[in-house]
Amino acid sequence: MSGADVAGLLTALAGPLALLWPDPSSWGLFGHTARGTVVVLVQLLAWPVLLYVLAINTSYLVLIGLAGADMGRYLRRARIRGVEDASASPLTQSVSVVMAAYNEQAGVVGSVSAMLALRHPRHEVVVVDDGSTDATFALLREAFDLVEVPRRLPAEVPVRGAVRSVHVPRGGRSPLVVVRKDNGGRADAVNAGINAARNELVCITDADSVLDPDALLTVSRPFADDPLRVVATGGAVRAVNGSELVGGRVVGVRMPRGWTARFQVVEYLRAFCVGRAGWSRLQSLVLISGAFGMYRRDVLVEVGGLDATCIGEDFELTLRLHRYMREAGRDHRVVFVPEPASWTEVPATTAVLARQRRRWQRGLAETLWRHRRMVGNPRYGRIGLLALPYYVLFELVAPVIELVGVVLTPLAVGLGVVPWEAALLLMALCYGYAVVVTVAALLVEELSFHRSQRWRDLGRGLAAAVLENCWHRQLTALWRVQGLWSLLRGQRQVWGAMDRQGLAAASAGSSVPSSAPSQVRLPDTAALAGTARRRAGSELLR
Amino acid sequence: MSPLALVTAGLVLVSALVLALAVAIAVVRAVRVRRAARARAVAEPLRPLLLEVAVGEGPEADDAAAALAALDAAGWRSVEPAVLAVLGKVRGDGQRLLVELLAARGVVAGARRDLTARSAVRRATAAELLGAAGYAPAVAELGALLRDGDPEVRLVAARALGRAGAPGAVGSDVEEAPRDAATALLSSLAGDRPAAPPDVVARSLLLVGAPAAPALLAALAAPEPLVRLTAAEVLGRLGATAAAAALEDLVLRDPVDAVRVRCAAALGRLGVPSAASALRAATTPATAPAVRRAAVRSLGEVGDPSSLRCLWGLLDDAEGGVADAAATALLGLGAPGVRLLAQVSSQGASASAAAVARAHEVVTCAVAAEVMPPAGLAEVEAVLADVLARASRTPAAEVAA
Repeated sequence: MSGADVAGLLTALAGPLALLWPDPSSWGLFGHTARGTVVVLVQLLAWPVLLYVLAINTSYLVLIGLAGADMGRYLRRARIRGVEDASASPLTQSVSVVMAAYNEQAGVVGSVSAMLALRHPRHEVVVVDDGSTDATFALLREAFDLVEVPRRLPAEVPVRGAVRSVHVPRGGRSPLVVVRKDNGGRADAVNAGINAARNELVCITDADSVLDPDALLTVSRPFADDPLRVVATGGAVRAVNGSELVGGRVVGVRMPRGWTARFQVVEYLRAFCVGRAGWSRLQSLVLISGAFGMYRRDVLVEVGGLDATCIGEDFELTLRLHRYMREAGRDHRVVFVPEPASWTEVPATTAVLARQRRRWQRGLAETLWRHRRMVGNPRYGRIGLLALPYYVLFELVAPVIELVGVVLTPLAVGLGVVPWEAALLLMALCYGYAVVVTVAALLVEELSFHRSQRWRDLGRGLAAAVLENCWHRQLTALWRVQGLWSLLRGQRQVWGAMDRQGLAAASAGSSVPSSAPSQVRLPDTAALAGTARRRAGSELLR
Repeated sequence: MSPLALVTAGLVLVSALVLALAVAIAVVRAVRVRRAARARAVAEPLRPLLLEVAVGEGPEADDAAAALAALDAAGWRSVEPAVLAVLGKVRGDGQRLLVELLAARGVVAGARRDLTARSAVRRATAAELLGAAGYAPAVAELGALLRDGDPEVRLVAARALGRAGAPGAVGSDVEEAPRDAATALLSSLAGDRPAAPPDVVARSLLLVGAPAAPALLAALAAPEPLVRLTAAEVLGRLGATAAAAALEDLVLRDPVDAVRVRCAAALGRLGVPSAASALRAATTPATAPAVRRAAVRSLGEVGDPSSLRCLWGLLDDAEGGVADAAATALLGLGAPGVRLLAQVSSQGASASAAAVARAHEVVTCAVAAEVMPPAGLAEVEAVLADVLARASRTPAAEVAA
């Protein structure tokens, strides 16, 4: 494009865009007519919204750039990471993998088997059945030959739902503990798991998550490298829908079939892989995903575990850790490890996705409100001065601003306030910039870990980067605003059911019953006593 | 310019940027796929040669090594990553041949040069390579790298020293290599801040093994707690029974609790019966809870029956962790411990309610989970029979009276 063309373009732009410039003389029209009201709203909001969109996408681009640098640094050190040494060392810090399970019959057995098979010299798996009403526990009991033991769990972190029983595999065949408790929500279940955990590090993950084989070794490495300061590490979380799994491991990354899931694949890449690496580079990571986070157990106990009253418990925990350590004057680090990853099943339907996004946004708002003292407070360093103001400005407020733009633009065009050409241009620029951001994230992924290998999936990823702006983005903004609204109205938040496809179970070769009983009778624990000899022993000791 | 042209121009601008990024992704992928395919094509025929060298047996291995050493630059470039990947995984003649091959190709000399490179990543990569090669002649240089300004380089150097200083390392006829490696590693923990993470240093000292024992014994008297602590840990894991007396002394007298904890754990691993006395002394209430817990656990590992009474007395200790550890330790003592636990559990031995509950829990957990050995189960049955016999005698006695 020549200089004259650019000048012509700018001159031509000036006409329609001038219509959006605030003109106080016309503000008296507000409330008189619908058109007058829209005129004033457009004049008041158009430029702030445009600048906001520009700023938020630029900030994403900066984070992606930082993530690229961080991942480059990580990859350059691939040969010197010493994972092989850690896998064989008797001194490697021990890890308890805590999985909360609520009605996870579709995949819990495969998931637990895969967790037990992870590479690590000293790890145990603690599954907390949070009052499931399906066959979750029955399947676990059958698969791992569980027996009930009268083990008391320490009450180091508070738990609301009463612990009913503790089970271990007969003969101590595998390092597995299953805790059954009354339903109290995911955070409460994780807290019970923390109490049951006996190792130095606690890895919190979901029962439907699939971890890469080296995930525990790699994510626990920062604790060994910097034992005094590292209190928590977070791993990358990727969408697993559509991928090929063998033996509970992702062996082929594929794009899922539906667009709802495809949009989330690129979203997860942009936000949970690349975005968090950027924040980690700034040493300002405030969100470790509940799907894959590792913590020092003693520090978890000190801060009281997860807050079961908060719907965004993973964000709240990370923030509370920062706050606790800062207020105690203890030097600390929260580190993001970009690879390997935890693979999680994302909602495949808009109804489930809507519930999830409402919950996330509400959790974000609740947590930021609880820790509002930290926002902009220099006492909390970069977290207070950089990360939290960013979260307030670009995560909390973003859907509201986006929705304002989405509603106002067609109104302004319909009422003839703004020419459709100008509106289209501006929307194209705004969403085009968003596409640039997503494709830049895809480029960083391609340059770094390139987990997806198929050309077809690359095309689908690029298509998803464009098409998500056509309806998914707007719907997401609406759901997030609904989440904020439900909080403002004081509505009770409930965890919606996630329609699992049972990826891990399917991968393990077993079929998932399509019509599994919704409720199974709890096992008679007395009947679990295997031999007469054991019954006699128990009798004596009762 | 008309509004329509404007819209078109805006879209073209954004589309061009998106397209450029998309093309960049495609190019990156295409180049990577092509390079990988080319490298595979070159390396695949050479793979059998590499396997021969790694196995390291017979004249075939020597011939294969000679063939790889004679490769042209392109061939070597494709096979080198595979050689480096295998390097840390083979021992004996295979390792020696691989290192000789790397030396012949100038890789070892290059790595030694890179130990002083400006780039921290290059220094660390060089140290990693020399460590993976188990290259004993580089111990002194790796030891010097423990004073590097970059923490990552120091960490890798500490790791590499373990392999290069290990007895089976290439050129370990350099007699002083293990000793020098151990001394350098222990020195890295001295000072205000350790040069490398203590667990990495400990792991390397374990790899150096028995030749490190004299340096480790001397380190038990070091002024820095971290040095004493690490030395105790490694001596315990090495099974250095000669260190028992010094460890017993430290478990009772060291001013730092963390050191006492490690010494207690080390004594448990050594399993020397004479240590039971010191360990029992470390369980008194005046001692820090962490030390008491470690001492109690170790009493279970030492397995000296003379500790039965001490552990019994701790079953209702005010410190829950100590009491739990005592119950588990009794279980670890085998049949005599199980018998005592069963007696306490059935209240055949005079004990508090807390002790009864704890004994009951640990025995029933072991029985229910079927991890109790047959000898232990026999003890439980014997106690059961005894209790039943007593119960059946009591009413009869009452009637007679």
